[in-house]
Amino acid sequence: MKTAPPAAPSASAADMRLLRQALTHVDDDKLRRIAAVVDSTADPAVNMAVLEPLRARLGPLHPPRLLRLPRLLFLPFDPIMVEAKAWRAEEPLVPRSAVMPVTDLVRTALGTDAAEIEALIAGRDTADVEVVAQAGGMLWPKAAAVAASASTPPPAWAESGLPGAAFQPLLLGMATVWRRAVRLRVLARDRLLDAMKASQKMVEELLADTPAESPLGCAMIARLILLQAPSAAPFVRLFANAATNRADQAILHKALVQSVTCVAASLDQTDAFWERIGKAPLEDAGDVARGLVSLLTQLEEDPGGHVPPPRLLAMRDGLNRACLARFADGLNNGVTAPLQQASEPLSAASQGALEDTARDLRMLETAARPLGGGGEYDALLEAATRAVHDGGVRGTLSRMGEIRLTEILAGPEAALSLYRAGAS
Amino acid sequence: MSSGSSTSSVRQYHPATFLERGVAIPFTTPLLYGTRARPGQRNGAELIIPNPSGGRGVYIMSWASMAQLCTPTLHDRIFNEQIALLPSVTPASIRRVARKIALEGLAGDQAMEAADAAIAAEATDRTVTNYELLMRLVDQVAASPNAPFSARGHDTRDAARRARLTADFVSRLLGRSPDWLATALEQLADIITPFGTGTNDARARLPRVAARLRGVRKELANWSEAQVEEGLIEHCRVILALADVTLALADDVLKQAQELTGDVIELLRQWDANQDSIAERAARPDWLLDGWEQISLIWSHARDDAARRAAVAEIVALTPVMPKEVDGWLGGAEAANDILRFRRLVPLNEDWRTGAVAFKLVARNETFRALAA
Repeated sequence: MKTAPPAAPSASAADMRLLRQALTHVDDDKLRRIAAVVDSTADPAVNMAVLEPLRARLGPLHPPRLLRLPRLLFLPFDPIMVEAKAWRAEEPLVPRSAVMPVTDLVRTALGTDAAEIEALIAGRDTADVEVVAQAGGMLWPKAAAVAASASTPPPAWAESGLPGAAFQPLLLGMATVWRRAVRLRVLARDRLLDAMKASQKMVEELLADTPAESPLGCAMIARLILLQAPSAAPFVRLFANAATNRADQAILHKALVQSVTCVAASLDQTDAFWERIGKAPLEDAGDVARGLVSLLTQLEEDPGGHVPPPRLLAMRDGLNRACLARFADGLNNGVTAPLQQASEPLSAASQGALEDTARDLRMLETAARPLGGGGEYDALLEAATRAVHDGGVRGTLSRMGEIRLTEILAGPEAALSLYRAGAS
Repeated sequence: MSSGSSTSSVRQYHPATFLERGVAIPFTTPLLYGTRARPGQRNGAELIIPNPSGGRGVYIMSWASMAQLCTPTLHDRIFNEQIALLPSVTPASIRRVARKIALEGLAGDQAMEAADAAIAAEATDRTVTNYELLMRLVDQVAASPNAPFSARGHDTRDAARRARLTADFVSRLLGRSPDWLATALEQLADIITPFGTGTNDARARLPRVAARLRGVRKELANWSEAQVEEGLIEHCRVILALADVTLALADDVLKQAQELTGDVIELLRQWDANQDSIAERAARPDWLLDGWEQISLIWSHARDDAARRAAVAEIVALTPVMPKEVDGWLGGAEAANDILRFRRLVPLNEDWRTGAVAFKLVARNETFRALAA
């Protein structure tokens, strides 16, 4: 009798181990590129096997990820997704191992609707906000209906490693969120765009009936609002206080307290801020800093006083140091060093890239300045402005290139002086 | 920001004429986006700045008072200096200044290249318009009972001969020299190029601006149907009402302007008698549509619901009010202003255009400068 060659599967597993080991040492840029390549493979198992150990590093890097049905389906839960081992049934979190079984359940129930959505998102990524909004608007309400009526776990649930008893409460919680996912997304994007004040009406509509639907879902929504749109959090409190049903009021208050304490605990961890600010791409760092400043403000203004002032002070200090370090690093590597290393006049594309970097840095600095460190920021900006001036003297920068970078880094007055000096 | 001093208090804004409404200036400072300029009561131009809070009313102030409100970009400072040098503030003169400044690179490389391309394209369009005016003149002369040549042929040399004969014929008819005629056709080409020759010319800049506004109007109407927030719905209603009035008027004034070229001999006669009158009629579409291109850009830039909500809140403060003079042209125009005056307020973030996001907005506004060169 011939025996099957054992080498192939075990070699593959060994290769995978080696690959994972190698991946733990790659730099952030390479990691982003690897994620893009792995995303392009259609097999979710490959995706899981390669990227699972790297998720903690990948998260703060915010790389645009290829849109597939599982990713789109769970996009509303992004800030509360955790590894299965970190998941606790009583906490408003979603274990990542539930993604594939739940997606299969939804995909089967949706039938041709799922195929239509998959066709819409084919080749698009998470940065394509228009497609996410459109496809999410088609998917999430339907997924809510499927999840709300799912009473027994599908056979694939076993692969999640989660207890069978967790299935229904989790699915009911997900249904509660999916039903409101479109508005939650608008609320989160409102925060990012920063143009509109948080809408009390939108929060009220988001929270209506949540405790009755699923207390876990209600807690998920409270935490998602706190993390993604902190300035809307006071409206959650107002809504809870206004609830006429005492049971609902208790559920909402519990959801609020749980959100505040858990979020505060996550910010207490060593390097919590550096993980968020330091690893974020520079174009996102300012938005992340704004979000964290707003989050800390909400924790400080929490009338329950669930986070003691000394802890809050330590958090502010941690955030300030992380922002300053990211700013200094970004200024050096993104502006000063490229200017000093350039031996020829910069192309229009390079000038544009320098301006983009300088703007991203000013956004980070403007967001972080209220935390302190004004003198340090000024000194760093002055040094960078000198490097820009040297670039102008050496001919690396055109006259207008120097003026524009000076304007971004040192302000319009400094740029005007330079402009006048050149004109005279 | 203070709103108590005489220079910086929010005022109601009911312009009687387009000149009083002012011309939209493509400033890049976020807080100054949508600012209009008009001749000042004393020296220099007066700036009309949309209420930064998103509320009703505008700030009317001189550039010197601007420091109370914000720190303008270098681009805007130089732009303002150039406005002060203009003998008259019109949409066309502001467009020339905008391109000149963009060519310097003050709005970035993209805007510089776009301005360069726009100037070249406009020069080509002017040449084409000049040629089309001449060909219309040739056809008109050929159709006249005492034409110096027979109907138009295809031979190029013959076409050149007919053009010469036409110039001689029309010059004699108007009692002017052929040189005067050539100059007049060039001058007319200058003022006709923005809307094109003949009715239904959709190639020229202003018919394209109107078409784009029509597209934005349709998208906004569809989007607003799905909204639930009363304030935003009302904002959409205000914008749609003013867009409708503008588009209805634009159809009329574009048609009237394009009809000028229906009888080129008569056009030349009127040009000879009163250049200002022809120039004023030809400039109407530009005045009417002024400011809507910026609005269309804001809307088109918004890619999802949240961005569209922000766009609507920004646009409503920029929506050009109708000067009282148009109420005689089209009934109901003044009523459209009323809904703008009494609209509900959707509060904007106070530091939206001055905080961290301002850097992103300057970049956005520079991109708009390139897109609307």
